[in-house]
Amino acid sequence: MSETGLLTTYTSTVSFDRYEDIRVALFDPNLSRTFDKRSYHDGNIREGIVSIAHGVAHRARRRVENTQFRAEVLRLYERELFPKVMNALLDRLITSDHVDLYPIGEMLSVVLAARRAGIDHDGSVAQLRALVRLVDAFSQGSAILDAKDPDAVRVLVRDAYAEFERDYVRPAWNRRAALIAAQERGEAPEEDLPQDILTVLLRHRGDAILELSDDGRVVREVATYLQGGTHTSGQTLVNSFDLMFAEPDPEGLIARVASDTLFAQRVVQETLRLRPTTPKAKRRAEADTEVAGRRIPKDALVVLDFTSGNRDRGVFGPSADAFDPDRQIPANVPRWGLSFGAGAHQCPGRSVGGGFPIPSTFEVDEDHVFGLVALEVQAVARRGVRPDPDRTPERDQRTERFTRWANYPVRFVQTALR
Amino acid sequence: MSGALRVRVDPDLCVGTGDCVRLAPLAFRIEDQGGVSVPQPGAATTARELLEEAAFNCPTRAITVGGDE
Repeated sequence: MSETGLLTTYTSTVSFDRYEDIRVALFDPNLSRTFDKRSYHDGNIREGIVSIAHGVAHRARRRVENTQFRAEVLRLYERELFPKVMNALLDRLITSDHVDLYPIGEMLSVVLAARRAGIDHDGSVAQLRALVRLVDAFSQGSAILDAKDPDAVRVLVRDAYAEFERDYVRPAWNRRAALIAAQERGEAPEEDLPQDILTVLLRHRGDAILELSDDGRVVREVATYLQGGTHTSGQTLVNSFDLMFAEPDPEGLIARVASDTLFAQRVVQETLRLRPTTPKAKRRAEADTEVAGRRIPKDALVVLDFTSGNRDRGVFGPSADAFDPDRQIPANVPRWGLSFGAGAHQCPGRSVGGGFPIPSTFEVDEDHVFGLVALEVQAVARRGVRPDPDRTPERDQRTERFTRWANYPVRFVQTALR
Repeated sequence: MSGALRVRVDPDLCVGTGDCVRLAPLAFRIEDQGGVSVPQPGAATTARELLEEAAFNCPTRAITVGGDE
């Protein structure tokens, strides 16, 4: 520790790249996501949010927030809300034969992420673009440990929080506070309250265990859900097509996606496995511990290589490196591998984006949730998406994360599949 | 076979993801007030393999299944 109490160095670095070892590490309560204050606490860019919180406060926060991720809520999104919004938005966004797929994925995803987070907007493309710009800043903040210029990211994220609070959170907060007050006075039924993260935070923030008395923490928490609900979905949409375009018969794959929603979901889950949004997760040892027979000293940096773990041949077979949406995998292994994490910090929105687990029989019942990204990929496939032969997609050069795109030009051909 | 199957959910660990309810809806229910999973009488007639799958996949290891060995 430095003189100021900041942890500036690690005692050692311990890396894991096998699926089972990483899974064990993710369940180890001694391995924390609370890193040094320099990376996460200075300037409050991630301070106190649920994905950094640890122990009792983390569990209490997850209990109230998980109410927004229950199966019945997901079915409502997937069957009633999203299809109408998605197709209307695609009509507005695909305005020529040649478009950039990346912002389309982000804008499709931000609509529902905003609703779930509790952020109101007018539905205009201009406001959706503004929200996507803020999400981009928050995404850089969430990946600050992999940023090429962390100081620039801190400035960017602080400015983004200020704009987000002023233009979006405060208006939404005031509306919800009035509704909650009316409900508490008995003037409105509980069913009239919005179903979103901001509302549940405001209703429960009096509970000291949630550690939400700081307004800034509520703003950052809402931003976390907006970002988490947008970024992975938007990037996975693009990565799904990037992987299909690289196959010997991309048009055949796209035709299957267009006609078979469960296949579309398998494409998405296979894409998540090969292109994890967080290629390498990092943890700090809060106490001496041991994982898979390896001793980890207190204050060690633990690197969990999700990219390698997701290609572990002992789990995913000899073709683990290949894109094969029809692959068979062992029981109790998610088709997306470790990409949504495991253990207490497992992504709460995994079923929103990736859907429910797919049985080995590839047969699902009427309660199955396919996930929003599968619906997005299918809708784009039905519109006849193809690679753009004249323009090369570019990866996001601001981060070491190889799964992030800056732009992805595509073209659309006439199709009878819509 | 001896004794009945015992299913327990540690309320201090559970964070109410609802994964167990999705896997075994007769065996678990999320309590509205506390937001945590509570074993239901239907757990007694739920296949042990399904309960063990719920326990294996519980992100906080809140579920334990015992007995009926």
